[in-house]
Amino acid sequence: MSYMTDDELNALIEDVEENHMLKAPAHLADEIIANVAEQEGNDDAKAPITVTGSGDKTSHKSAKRQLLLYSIEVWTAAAAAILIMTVSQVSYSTGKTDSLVPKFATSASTNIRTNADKVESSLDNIRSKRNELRTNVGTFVDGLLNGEYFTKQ
Amino acid sequence: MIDKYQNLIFSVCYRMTSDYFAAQDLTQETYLSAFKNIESYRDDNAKAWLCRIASNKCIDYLRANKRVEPTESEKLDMFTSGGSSTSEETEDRELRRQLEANCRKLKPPYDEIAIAYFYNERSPGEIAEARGQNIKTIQTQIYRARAMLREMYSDMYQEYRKEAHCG
Repeated sequence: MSYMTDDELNALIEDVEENHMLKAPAHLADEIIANVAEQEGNDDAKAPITVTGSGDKTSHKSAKRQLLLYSIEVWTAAAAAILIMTVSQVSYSTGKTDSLVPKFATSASTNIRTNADKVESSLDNIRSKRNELRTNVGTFVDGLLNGEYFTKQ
Repeated sequence: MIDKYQNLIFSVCYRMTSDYFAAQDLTQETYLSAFKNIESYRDDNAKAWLCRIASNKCIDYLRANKRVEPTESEKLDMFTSGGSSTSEETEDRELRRQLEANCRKLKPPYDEIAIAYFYNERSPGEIAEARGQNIKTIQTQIYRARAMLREMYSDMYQEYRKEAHCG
C-alpha cells in the first residue's frame, strides 16, 4: 500500500472529523511531552557542542580553539614528565643500578645506612658489657660459695 | 499543538490501524517526528502536516508488522466511513467498553492497574497512593499491562483482518 495522496489524506481527515472523532487518552499528552523532553536530552548528550544557525563559523572556531588548548595542556604535561625524568642525575660511569636513583633518594639511603651502623656498634657495646657483667657476677657467686668473702674465726 | 490536534491525530491513527494502543504509540511518534522536523515546517496548515506524518507512520506500521494490508478498495473505505453509520459517541463508547473488557482479561494485579490507568485515566501517582505502593512499582506494572494489552489488540486485529478477507 502506497502513501496517501493529498486528496486521499484530505478526505480521510474530513471523514474522521465528521464521523470518527475519538477522545485521546488523558495521559497521552503528558507522555508525548515526556518523550519529546527525553529526546531533547538525548540530543544534547550526543552533541555537547551546539552549533547555532547564525554563528556557525564562530562556533566552529570556538570548538577548534578548545581542541587546540586541550592539546597544548596534554602535551605540556607529557613534556614536564619527560623533563623530570631527564633532569634527575644518572651516573653511567658506576654502572650501578642505584645510579638511576635520584640524588635525594641516594643521600637518604646513605643516612639510613650510617645510622644503622651506629646502632649496630652500640648494640655490640651493650653485648660486651653484658658479657662482662655476667662474668663478674659469676665470679662473685663462686667466691661466695667458696667462702672467700667470710673471715675464719 | 498537542492539545489542539491530539484527538484528531489519535482518531486518524485508530481509523487506519484499528488498534487502540498502536494508535497511541503512533500518535506519540507523529508528534516526536513533527518536533524533530519542526524547522522544515513552512506551511500554515499544521493539521494537514501532522495528519500527513500520522498517515505515513500508520502505513509504515502496517507494513512493518506484516499486517494484512488493506487493498485499494479498503483504502477508500478508510475515508468514506465504509458504510458505517455509527455516531462518534457510539464508537467512543464501544471503544471504551472493549478497553474495559480487555483490561479485565489480564491477570492480577495488572487487571486493576490497567482499569485504573487506561480506563479510569488515573495518574500513576494516584494509583500508587490508593494502593499504598511505590510509584515505580506502579509504573512498571503499567508498562507490563500495556504490553499485554497491545498483544491482545494485535491478535484481535489479525483475527478481524482474516475474517474480513475470508468473508
